[in-house]
Amino acid sequence: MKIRLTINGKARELEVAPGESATAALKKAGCGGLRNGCDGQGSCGACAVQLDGELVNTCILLAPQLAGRSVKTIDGISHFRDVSPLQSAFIDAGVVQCGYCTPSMLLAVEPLVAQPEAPTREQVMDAMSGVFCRCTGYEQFVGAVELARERTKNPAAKGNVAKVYRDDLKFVGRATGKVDGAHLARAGKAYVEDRVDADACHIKLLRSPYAHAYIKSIDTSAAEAMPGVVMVVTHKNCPDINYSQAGQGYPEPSPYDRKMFGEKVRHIGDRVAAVMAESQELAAAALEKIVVEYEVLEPVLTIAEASAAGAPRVHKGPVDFISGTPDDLDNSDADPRDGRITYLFPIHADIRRNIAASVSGGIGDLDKGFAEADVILERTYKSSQVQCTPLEPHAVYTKLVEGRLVVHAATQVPWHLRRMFARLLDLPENRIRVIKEHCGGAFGAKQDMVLEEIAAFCTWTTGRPVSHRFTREEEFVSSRTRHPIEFQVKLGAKKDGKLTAVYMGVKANTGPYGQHCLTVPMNAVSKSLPLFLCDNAGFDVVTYYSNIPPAGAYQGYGAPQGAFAMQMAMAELAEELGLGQLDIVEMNRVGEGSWLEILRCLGEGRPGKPEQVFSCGLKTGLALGREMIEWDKKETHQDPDIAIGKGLAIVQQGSGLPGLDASNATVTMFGDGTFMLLSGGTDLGTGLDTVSTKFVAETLCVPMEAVSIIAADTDATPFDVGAYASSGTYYSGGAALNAAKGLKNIILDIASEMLGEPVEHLDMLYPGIIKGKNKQVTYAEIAHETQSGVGCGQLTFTSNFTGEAPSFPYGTHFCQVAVNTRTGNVKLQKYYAFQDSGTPINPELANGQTFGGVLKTIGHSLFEEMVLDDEGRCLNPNLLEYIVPMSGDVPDDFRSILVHTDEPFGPFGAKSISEIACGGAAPAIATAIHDAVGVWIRSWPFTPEKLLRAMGKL
Amino acid sequence: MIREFHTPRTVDAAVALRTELAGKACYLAGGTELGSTAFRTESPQEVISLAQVLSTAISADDGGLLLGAGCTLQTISVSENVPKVLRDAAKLVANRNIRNMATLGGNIASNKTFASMLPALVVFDAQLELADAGGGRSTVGIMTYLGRGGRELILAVRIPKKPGRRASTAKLSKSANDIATLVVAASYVPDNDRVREPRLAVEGVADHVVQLDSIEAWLEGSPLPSRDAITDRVSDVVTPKTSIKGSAEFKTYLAGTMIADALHRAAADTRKVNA
Repeated sequence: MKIRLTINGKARELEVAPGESATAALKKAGCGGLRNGCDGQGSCGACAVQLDGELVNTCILLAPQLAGRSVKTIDGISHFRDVSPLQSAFIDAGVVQCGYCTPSMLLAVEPLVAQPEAPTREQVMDAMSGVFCRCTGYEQFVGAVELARERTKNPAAKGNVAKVYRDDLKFVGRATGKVDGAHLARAGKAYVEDRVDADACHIKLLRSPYAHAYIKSIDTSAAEAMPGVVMVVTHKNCPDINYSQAGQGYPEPSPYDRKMFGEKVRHIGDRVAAVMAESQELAAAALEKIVVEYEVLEPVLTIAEASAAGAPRVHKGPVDFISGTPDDLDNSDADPRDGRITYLFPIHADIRRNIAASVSGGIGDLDKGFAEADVILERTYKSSQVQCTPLEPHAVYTKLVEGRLVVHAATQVPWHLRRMFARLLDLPENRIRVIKEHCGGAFGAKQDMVLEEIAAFCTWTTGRPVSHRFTREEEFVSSRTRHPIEFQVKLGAKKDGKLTAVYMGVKANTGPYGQHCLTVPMNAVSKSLPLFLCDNAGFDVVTYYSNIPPAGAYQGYGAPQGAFAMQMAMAELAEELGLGQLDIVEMNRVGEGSWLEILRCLGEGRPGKPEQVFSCGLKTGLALGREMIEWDKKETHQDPDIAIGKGLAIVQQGSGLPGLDASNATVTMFGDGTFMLLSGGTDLGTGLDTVSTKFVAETLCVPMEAVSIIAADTDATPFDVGAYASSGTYYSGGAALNAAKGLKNIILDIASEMLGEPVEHLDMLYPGIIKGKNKQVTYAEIAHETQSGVGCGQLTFTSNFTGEAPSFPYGTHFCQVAVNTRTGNVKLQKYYAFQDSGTPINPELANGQTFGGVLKTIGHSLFEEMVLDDEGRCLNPNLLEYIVPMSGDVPDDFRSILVHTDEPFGPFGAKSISEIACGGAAPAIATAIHDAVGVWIRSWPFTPEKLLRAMGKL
Repeated sequence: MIREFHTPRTVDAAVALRTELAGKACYLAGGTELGSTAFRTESPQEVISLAQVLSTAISADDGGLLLGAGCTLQTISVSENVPKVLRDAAKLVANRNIRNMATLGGNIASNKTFASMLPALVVFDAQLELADAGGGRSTVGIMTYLGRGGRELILAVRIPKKPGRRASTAKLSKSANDIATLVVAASYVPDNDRVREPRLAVEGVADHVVQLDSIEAWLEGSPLPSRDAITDRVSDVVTPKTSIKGSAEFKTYLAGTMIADALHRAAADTRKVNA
């Protein structure tokens, strides 16, 4: 049927099907910026357009409903290559992070820019209330709208988007906008889905309906016979290679405990078969033709079940070691159907007891420490299984180009992917190219290879291009989640609050496979124990296999769970001793100059050693927080049913992995004196490319526009381990800085020759001039000289960054809650995050990272939770029922305050941002709840029902 | 698979089409239920768009307030002609995009737990103007319509005048955009410290909205009881089921507490609603 409508002011006539979605119809009509994050639920708003001026979700509209209406898409907001005042305000205010929701957000708030009266904060939040953004925490959009309104009157308006932290520098430490901001704000092609060619085949996966079963037989003949089906992959014809999906450096601590397809399935949603077909519909239809017979086994879902004597074993395959083979290795009872497990080095697993990994350690003498204590407190805490929920699900597009495998991936680890593909496909790495596309959110989930290897295998086998993208449900059941962890914390202290002994017992549930099974639970210890100084400290970590959906990396990497347990225990200890929470924290906390002895036994990937803290913003953060939130004042509410309380937490993270991480970058001068930066760094929307560009521009004294960047392409750019462990600014940025410094020296040497003056007489001046005592030369002249027939050749320098210093970032989080004592509802009135990330390189984006990290973990604290039934089936595998924080969940008064410290080992004094923001919410909120109503909620999430039970009302 | 999309221009044409296509077609207003993979319960072969049929007007006359069934929840939430409690009820759907699409008529006809306006409409004694299959027009009370599994096309919602009425509505959900665990509404007319014409409704303790007739009868003519007394009574008559949103015990407690609070909040609100 034909419909007439107006699209971006122009009359159009479209041929649509009666049941066609409006999203599909508008895409066919050439409209850009229409994304998909919820598979047609209407819960994410990524597909939104203005319809007669009102924001609507096109995924739940039928195309014929557009008839006679006026549609405005992102294309109607910008004009050619120009960005509108609103788009430029978005960029400058730091609200364009991954960019996947940006078109919808622009359309959501655009009417507020044009309205006569200034919108209230509530109006801005309401306008955005239908659009899910996992990155930004929504808060800075208020300022973006305000700035846009100023710019409509005065295009030069700068607004007040962030403080300046380095007056002495041009770009570092001040807001400059994001180098890819305009492209994303115009909804330019950026993501995997934008790279898929029209002739691409598609993959659909048949997934297990059982949490634990053997595949007795599988018949794919009917599916394979269907026209348009290219191939079907099962355990029978996939590579007979065991591996880990964890995107970690080699040798990985995660065990090689799975094949591409196994003869045993270990969770509901586990892979059974893949169909590659010429359309998604055909692939889905072919799945229906596959006949599978299962031998169903009893599942184990909880730590208690997995650790029980005689529990069903999740893994029974033969075991081997690459190094450190134990003398008593015994495979006599192994079942080959379970597949082989290879450990690259011992991680103290015991698959007969479902133990995936374990580690213990300590300093001092725990028994002595507890004996010296006046008070001993012992508590247990639990975290729940929460999902990363990037707005863009996992996606990959693979194809052959001149005989080489080319992979467009939404990944955090392009080089690790290449290494893993090479092993799985038995290819040398030079036959493989991995291009990291823009990621529509990643948050740790995209550190792992969860679908990429199937597409790579299919393309390499058939020679045909393949697109594969998870549905939202697949994202829940087979992507990555935070490990559910049970903590036992035991503290000993003197009457004055001084700690004498600290013990943390950690039992984690990794699910069916062991990606990150050692390192995430260990991080729960290594990021929480060092916050408090105590001579006697110990820990035991045990991670169990089970049949729940897989756990893995998630922003914070175990630290949020550990922080919850440790900070809560300290608060409970304070109550026991009659002390204030803040006072006991102050008495025992780490500070500048402290030695963290506990790290002697918490090395990651290498032996541990004590580390010294050279910069620490906790003192400032605690002082500011005490003052700003009026910590010592007891608040009351006009409604007697509402009780108000305040809480706090201190948190620590890292800045990459010293001794393990490595980054590289190349800076090259072009003929006109501009530069190209080739960075291995993987920008996930966080602003890393902007960080690296700033470092080069600052060092070489040129405008940021004179530095272009290509990043994270294994063919075009040098090696980098990838984006995880908060390494981006420190390592990848550090490599760019070192490359720029190297090139600076070369430029000075050349200029010295050209000017006939010694280097020590030369100054490098902005914008791109070398000035001697007598003469000067421009970069363009240097480029001409060096690139001419008699020159020394194009100037370029490659450098790397490795480090030994941990450069811990610190955070202090305060919050104020209002608890409805009748319903158990918790309202966040205030949340202040004081973030010490050294020198904030991109202050506006650093604030955005903080807001985003905090709001994610507010979600984890208050409502997010994957609910499984008795068979291990996730009952809420979608955004609507799982529930993610939207703008209506933002605290009434939400602030990110960057505490500037100068880290001596970081580039321009920087430490990391991002993960550090995720640790504070749970303990700060839980301790505030206790302050309000006197109950300790010791497990996530703090639901109204849980509060009511704790208060004795149920 | 939808194969036909009809756009009738009159109410009668829409009703006639529905009759003619019985079993194959359904009405389409905003589309937030039919279009959503989360809420779609029907898979019609044909849809009958009501875009050109339903009124989107809001008007007031001596009989009260008249809301066209085509009004979106967003329109209602910002209309100054609409009593605040009904505006609040429309805004219980926190997702602006959905409020921009969902219609009043659709919210009523769906009669699902996400129909957050229903409790408020019930306690305001909403009357529905309907177009029936025979081409006639009729007016029925909202609970009568819902009780008989109303299939007639809703044309408008009338909120009768009720001088002195006080009302309140509230929801509890896990997050702002979460579909409510419970929505309650309460209203009554104060008469020298006595409760007259009490109306109580709750969404979330059954598959559809429930009016608490027995509690209303208990309240009629009495002084407003204490919150604890109301809570106990309500808890005795609701029978929710355990679900992902909470245990039956929790929902039972919550229904009693929230109804009691809504009644007392209404009593404390000295503004006269819809006088």
